[in-house]
Amino acid sequence: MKQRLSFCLAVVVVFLALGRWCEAASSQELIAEAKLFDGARVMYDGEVIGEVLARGDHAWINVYDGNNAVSVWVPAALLEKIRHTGGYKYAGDRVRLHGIFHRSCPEHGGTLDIHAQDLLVVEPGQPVIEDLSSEKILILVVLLGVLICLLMGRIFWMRRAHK
Amino acid sequence: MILKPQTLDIRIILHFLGKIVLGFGVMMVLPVVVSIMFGEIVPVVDFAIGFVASISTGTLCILLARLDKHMEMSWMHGMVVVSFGWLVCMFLGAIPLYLSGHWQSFLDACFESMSGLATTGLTLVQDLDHLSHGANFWRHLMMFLGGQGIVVVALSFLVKGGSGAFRMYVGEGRDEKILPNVVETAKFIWLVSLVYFGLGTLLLVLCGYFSVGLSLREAIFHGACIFMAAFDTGGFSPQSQSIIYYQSWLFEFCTIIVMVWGAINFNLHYAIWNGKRRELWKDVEIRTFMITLSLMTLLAAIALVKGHVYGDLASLGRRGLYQIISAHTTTGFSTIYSQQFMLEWKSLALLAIILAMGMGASICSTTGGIKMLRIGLIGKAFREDIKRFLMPDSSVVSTKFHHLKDMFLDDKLVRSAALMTIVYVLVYLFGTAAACFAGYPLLESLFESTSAAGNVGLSCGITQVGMPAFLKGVYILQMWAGRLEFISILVLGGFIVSYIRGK
Amino acid sequence: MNQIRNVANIIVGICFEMVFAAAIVLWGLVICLAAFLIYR
Repeated sequence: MKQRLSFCLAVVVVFLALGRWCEAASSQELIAEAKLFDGARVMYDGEVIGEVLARGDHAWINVYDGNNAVSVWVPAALLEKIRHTGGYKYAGDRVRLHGIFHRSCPEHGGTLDIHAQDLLVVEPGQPVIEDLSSEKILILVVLLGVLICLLMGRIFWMRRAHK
Repeated sequence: MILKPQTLDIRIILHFLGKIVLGFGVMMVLPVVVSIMFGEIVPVVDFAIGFVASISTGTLCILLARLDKHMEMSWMHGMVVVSFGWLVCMFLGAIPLYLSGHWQSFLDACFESMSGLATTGLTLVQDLDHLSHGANFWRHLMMFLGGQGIVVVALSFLVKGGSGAFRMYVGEGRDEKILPNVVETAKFIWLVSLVYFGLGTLLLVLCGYFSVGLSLREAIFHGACIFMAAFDTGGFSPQSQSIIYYQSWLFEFCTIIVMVWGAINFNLHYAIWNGKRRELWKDVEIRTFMITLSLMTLLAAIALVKGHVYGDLASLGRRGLYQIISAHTTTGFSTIYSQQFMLEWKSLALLAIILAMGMGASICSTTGGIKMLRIGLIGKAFREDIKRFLMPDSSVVSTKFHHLKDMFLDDKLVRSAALMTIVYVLVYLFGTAAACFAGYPLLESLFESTSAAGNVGLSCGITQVGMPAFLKGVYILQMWAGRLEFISILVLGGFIVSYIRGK
Repeated sequence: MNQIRNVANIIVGICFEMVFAAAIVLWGLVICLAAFLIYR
């Protein structure tokens, strides 16, 4: 009986652990627990921001998960999947990647990085439509009116002062 | 008996304040140009609002002043114009930032604006990686303007010379003239800055394009922004990861070159440009800087090696030495995440970086902190005192030092240096107490306070959107006070008190 | 500003300052290396 219970408990623990491994680590967790994750294979989700920085047969991408952006060293073969990077006018591709995490990568001068082994575009990037609110136009028009009045006042006062 | 300021005093102050605000407002045209180049429409409207608000404010001030003839400013006028002018420019500079929607509140936008003008670099921006090029450029441009001096901007173009101009110049934390005329000095500072702007941006653009892998357009944008942040030892960067984004040791090295340019006294630039290259190693500030930098690097290196934080020389150099140089030049560029300071760096390394931040670099440069001249003079005064005890009682001991010319160490100089050092330390401690009051641990509080008041910008994690509002206010005060070196702010306080209580 | 004689002086001066910055980095790396050798 005891043996069966222990076995069931072990199975539950293993499943829970597997479940934990299936969650992507957040950038906060990676940084906070860097020593724990160092050298481990991790899963990381986020949006590719900035630009793809090509370096020969690899490239750097910076993947932002809402808190921090983490640098990912990606082989050229995986890069073809990335179409859009995030900036002002574009929401970048959301990617899910697996790779080896380094707290202080000896290959790259001690940076915190992930060497990607596989990469999947979970959600392709979309253009961001600029939203010009009518309130801003109104504020601008009102302020222009105020400025014109002030400038007229200044010209009027300067003429009076010269007389 | 406190004398109440007269209406004429207020009119004089308003007049020159208006000129400074006009000069500042005109600068908002530049981010508009950048936004147009990148095809961004909304930021054009945001900056148009900011521009019109600034020009209106400046025009209103000049109208209210109704100064129909040129009036000379007293020391009080000069100091009040500068300190109050910086506050007004902070508010106006925050308008386009707040309108972008990337700052949670107007207070956060004011924090960012003051951080930019005071060349600090602490940031409360949200989602920086999606900020428009125009607004991002404005953040960095404010560092360029604040580093050179908003008053210097006004002096170059809008204000006639005279003793009043000099008083404003001193009120902005500079007391050394380079050329006999302060307006010529201001124009020289601009000339130096623009020459370095051209060269430095070119250097960073080439590095960004060939070494980092940026596209040409982005390389130019990043090059210009990083130059302004590095030369003005500010520390803003166009992306949220600071210098980590670039992943290039060559780019990091180029930023160090520009940081060192910015950390050198403008007078020294003038001397070197005139062929007097010996001045570089004869100068007491440079010598003191080399001593303190060596000491801080040694302390940090020992701590990081013993603590097995970085495993090889390249990592120690790019993550350890880079941070020390960034801190000592009060720039604030970072090649590690801010959380890593507390999580990974050992106490001795943190002490080294806090001391480096607190000490700063040269006077009459773009840097903050106590400044090397003061540290150097205090050091020399100690040596002289010890010498006095070692020599026979009847001997006369005097100490020479070289700062652009050979000078003798006298008590007045040492007293002034020591007093300012004490004030800086008190301000660092005040900020520390404020953060401790908010519930943060002592070491983090000391780190962040020194960073704010020394106008450095490295953060250990306290500066973030969720920070208490009163602490944001404290850091704004510290950044403002540190940049203007306290005197003009104390004069402003005195002016307000005398207006309320005076007869 | 009238006293700045020629552009060559300025260019040499700027290069000189760049070399100074490089010297700072080099010196810093020497100190780091010393720390490695002593404490590793």
